[in-house]
Amino acid sequence: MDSPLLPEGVKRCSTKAFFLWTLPWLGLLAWGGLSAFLCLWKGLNQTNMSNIFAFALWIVFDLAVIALGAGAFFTGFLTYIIGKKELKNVINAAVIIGFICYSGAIAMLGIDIGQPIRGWFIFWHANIHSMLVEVSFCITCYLMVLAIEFVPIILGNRQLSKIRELNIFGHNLHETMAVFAATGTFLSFFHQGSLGGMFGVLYARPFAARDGFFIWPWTFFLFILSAIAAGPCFTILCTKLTEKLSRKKLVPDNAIQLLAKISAFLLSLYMVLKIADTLGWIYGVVPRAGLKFIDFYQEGPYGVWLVVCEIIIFGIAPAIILLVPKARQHDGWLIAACLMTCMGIVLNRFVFIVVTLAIPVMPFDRFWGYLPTWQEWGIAMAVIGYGFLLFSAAYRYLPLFPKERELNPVTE
Amino acid sequence: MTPFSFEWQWNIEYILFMGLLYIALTIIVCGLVYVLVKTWLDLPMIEKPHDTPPEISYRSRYSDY
Repeated sequence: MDSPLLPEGVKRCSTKAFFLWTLPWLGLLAWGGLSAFLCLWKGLNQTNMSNIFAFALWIVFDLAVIALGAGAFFTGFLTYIIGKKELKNVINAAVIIGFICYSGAIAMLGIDIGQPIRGWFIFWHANIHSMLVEVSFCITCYLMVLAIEFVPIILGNRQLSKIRELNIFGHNLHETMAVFAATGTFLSFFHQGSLGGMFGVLYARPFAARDGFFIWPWTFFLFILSAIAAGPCFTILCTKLTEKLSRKKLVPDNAIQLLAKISAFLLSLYMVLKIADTLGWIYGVVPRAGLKFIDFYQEGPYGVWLVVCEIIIFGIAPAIILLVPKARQHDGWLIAACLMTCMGIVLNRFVFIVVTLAIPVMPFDRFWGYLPTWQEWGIAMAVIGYGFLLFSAAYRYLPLFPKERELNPVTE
Repeated sequence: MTPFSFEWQWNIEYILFMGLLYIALTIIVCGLVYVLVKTWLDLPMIEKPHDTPPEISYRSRYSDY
């Protein structure tokens, strides 16, 4: 039924099969829609957020998807600025993943602020000393850049590319992409950093506070590094998942291997600095606050296992796997390492957001627990549903993987 | 916020913070305007009368980029 819209010379499943595939994701979107309606209609009392947990599940999801979506800006930087030609085979997928992550995060923030119609206040009545304002500026501008980067991919659709004006426009846009990629890199650098910096400057919360360089706490640099290490891993994961589901080879090995290799070096560097930062925190910030390292891990479910998981299991282990050429060339190990890296980054964001707020600050405070409501889960899951839907539609109708036809000749 | 807003203060912090935002926005807008103008200028050059444009596959175009 939709065959005229499908890319030339490639095989896609039937319309019926595609429709059935979209049903669970539409279900998640419906759940999210209902949750959003309730939050907007009745207010944020539909959530378990409070004055203690002003940041909760949505911000964990936001920071996680923004870190995982960093593959877009970093792959764009490597492709258009550094000139890594082999990454042109994966840049389209990276851009769409980035677009999904950032648009999903902004949509979720729209509910999180409680009064979306006042969302523009942050731009017009900006508090220029707030790192969150800088983050808001940068993610909004970067979403514009991602939308611009997405346009030539949409215009590559079989039917749209027949329209000469659009064809030329798409071609020109593609030729100017280095400018947008450079702008995206600048914007991403600062918002990834400021998301980390925001926690590092919480001097009243020694669990998150860090020393730093000039006005930037170390977390500023660690968040950038962790995002550019995990972003390519997430792009690899999404590509591999698409390959498994479509039972096709979509991206040449050299592109995936290059991404994995770069990710390996960045992750290793991140782990070295993260360990140094943790030691600096244990022997610097914590004693200065009159506390001991173990004081932070004595109450609630958040024990020392969090540190072990974050640094050893989801940090050092995937870094070693990705560093060993034979291991990263093996599909199973590569996927496992990428998955562990992504889980590590999600865990890192969770620790900085939820655990920071759960740990008591004053002597008379107690440990606070938090569990999201079904409405909070609904909105977070809707981002996943939206992501699957958009990526599936993009794979079906757009030239997502330029080498797909070459790697999978259709024999009829 | 612009320099005309009542909250604006003429100091380095405001100039730097808001200036970087406006620089980023200017680059994005200028980039888009450049592409639109270039497309506008390219249209008559490629147009051939009574000739339908050939269907250019995105794949064959890709190596050009």
